[in-house]
Amino acid sequence: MPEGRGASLRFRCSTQPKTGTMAHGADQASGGGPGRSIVLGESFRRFMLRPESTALAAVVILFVVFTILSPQLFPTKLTYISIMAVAAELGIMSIGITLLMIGGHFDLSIGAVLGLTSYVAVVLMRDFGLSPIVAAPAAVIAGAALGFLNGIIVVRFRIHSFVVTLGTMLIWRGVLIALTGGFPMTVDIPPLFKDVMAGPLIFGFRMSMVWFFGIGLLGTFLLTRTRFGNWIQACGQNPQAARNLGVPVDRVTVILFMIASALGALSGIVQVARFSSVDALRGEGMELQAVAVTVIGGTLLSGGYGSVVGTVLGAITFGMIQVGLVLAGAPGHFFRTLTGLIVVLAVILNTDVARRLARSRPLAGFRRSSAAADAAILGEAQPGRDGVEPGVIAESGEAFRDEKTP
Amino acid sequence: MTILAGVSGVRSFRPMAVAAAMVGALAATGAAQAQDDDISIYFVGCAAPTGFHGYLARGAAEAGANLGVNVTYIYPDQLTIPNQVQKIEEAIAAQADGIAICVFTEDAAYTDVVARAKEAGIAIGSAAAPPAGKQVRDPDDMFLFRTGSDEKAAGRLTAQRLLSMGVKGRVVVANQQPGDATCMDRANSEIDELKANGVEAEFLELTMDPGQQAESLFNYLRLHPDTAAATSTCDVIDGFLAAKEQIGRDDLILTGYDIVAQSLAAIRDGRQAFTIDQQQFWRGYMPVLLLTHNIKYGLQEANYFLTGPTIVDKDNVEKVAALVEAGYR
Repeated sequence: MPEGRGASLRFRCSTQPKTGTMAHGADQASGGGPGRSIVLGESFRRFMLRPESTALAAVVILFVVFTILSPQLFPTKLTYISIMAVAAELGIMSIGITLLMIGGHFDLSIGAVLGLTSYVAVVLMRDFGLSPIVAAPAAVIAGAALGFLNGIIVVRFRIHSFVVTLGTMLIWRGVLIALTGGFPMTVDIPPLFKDVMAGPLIFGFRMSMVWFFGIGLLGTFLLTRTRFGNWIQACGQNPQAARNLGVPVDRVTVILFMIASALGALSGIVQVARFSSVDALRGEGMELQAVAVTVIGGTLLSGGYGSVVGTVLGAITFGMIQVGLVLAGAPGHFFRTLTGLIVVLAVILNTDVARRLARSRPLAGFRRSSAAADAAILGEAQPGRDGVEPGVIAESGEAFRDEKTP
Repeated sequence: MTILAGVSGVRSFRPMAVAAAMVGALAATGAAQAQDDDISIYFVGCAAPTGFHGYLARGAAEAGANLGVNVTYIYPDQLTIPNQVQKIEEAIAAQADGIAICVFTEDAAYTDVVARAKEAGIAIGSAAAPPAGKQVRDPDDMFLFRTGSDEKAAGRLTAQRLLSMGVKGRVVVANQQPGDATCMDRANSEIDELKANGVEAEFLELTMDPGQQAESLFNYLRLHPDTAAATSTCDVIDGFLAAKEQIGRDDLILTGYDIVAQSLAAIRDGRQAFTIDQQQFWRGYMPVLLLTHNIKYGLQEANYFLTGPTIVDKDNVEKVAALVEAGYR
């Protein structure tokens, strides 16, 4: 894990006010606390070290670029609706992939799971006459079961998840092709279910966006505010150490695969509701798009570090690229090329630039300390807390400690 | 038929003589059948016999059953030149009498393996379209025959139909599988034909995901409100139908390729104008027929056999739907 990334993780964990600590800044030399601009600058530097910050930067940069390229059409509500439709359908499954990748695993079968569980939903509604209220949860449960199989194989046989899910991807896809005979299948969906899953009910925005944000919030809560979230990060950073500390690594791994596949199934349900159909290639290639979105969002491929909020922003970035390139009149033959290029640039922004920022010297005498700078930054955010007694940090030594990988 | 005609010609003979003649005829038929059953034809497909390729396999099987020859359908797990050539070599090793190949790339990829098959005395033909614009077989052609749909002609046919519908302004030709040579042939020839007739035509690259297709096409239509028609060069049409509904343009002409349930439904209710069909059942049936007749009688067709393109629109959609139901289109 890059040093700076570890540092930012510490920052996230140290946002509580810490009295008795103090910034050791240039301004202190003159007897006062650090200046407002310096503290703001350091706040910005530290924000940029957060995993989701560069994804946010990518969103902003792309928004500006596409607005310049297509000033009449891009900054409009219709465009935002389009972006969110793409982001939501891809983003729901990407959130599951994010949690899994933070836990140190991959799932290449997620696109095939989307296709196969969509088939399950369609068949239950069409051939068994079940209500979508029953068929949709059944498909999600089927997805979780497929994830369970992935997880069990990974933990029981100690095979890398990349290989296991590569195999199951082929199996699920093959089963789907065999079951559909290679042909698309259509189904009549009750309008109410269509609307609830993907209807344009929120001022024209699709309901899939609500599902997307809702799951994003749940994912963030799970990752940052629960013991299970802590376990996920611990498993991804060092599974053996986590195991030694009593973390049920295998159970966490299996549950993560189940969550990822269940969310893949939910993405499929959204598409079934929207298009009233499933086809043999549904979801193909989306597993790699989900990984791209996750990486754009700041999650490390090596595991142990990442952010669901970053993935939400990554999905919006991806949607913006898809829609923006069309509105900018990009050459039709180079659409994939340009998409890939922008994804690579976004990831470079997210890794190299962030790494440089992490290595950069803190502004105006702040050291790479969390406590001291946090206190000053918090004070900046809360007027009246600026003046903390000088010299305390130097005595404790905490302000001078470089933050390393947790 | 020939035997039955012979039997009818001996009606005036005694019944025993007739019976003897019939037994002799049946014995002769049985011998011929046994001889035909020894003919082994390998059909080297492009993919598993499902969906589109299921029709090819079904056509080949039905031809085998009708002609009394053994047909074996084999295919590569992943469609690459080395994988498919490997399958052809397996057919040669199995000492097939005839091989039909679902050719998907340039002839040069098959030159060596076809030469080896010929050296082994195996009849070999192509279950794919002839070179665009060529209908009479080149005497030097390495394949005995070529049976398939002319995809460039299909693209031109789409363009011509659009022109006959009075399309002006702009046409967008979208491809969900940009690496697929068949789809690219369709797209390029349609664009060329439209441009040659003064209609602005543009290529748009899409993904296979219907949601992403819908949003890309929707925004293309926002950028180019003068777009009169949109063509899907593959059979996945969901995103196109969704984009048309989203933009609220009932006048937008949608066209596609191949026959799927969504297309038939959309043609019926008018959301899609037409689709181009290549009658792929024939791409399976005809190679087995041509190989069998070549092996048994030494016959060889002088023309290439075009299975398509044909148009499915509101006028014939019900008839075609019945054939789809029966498994022939």
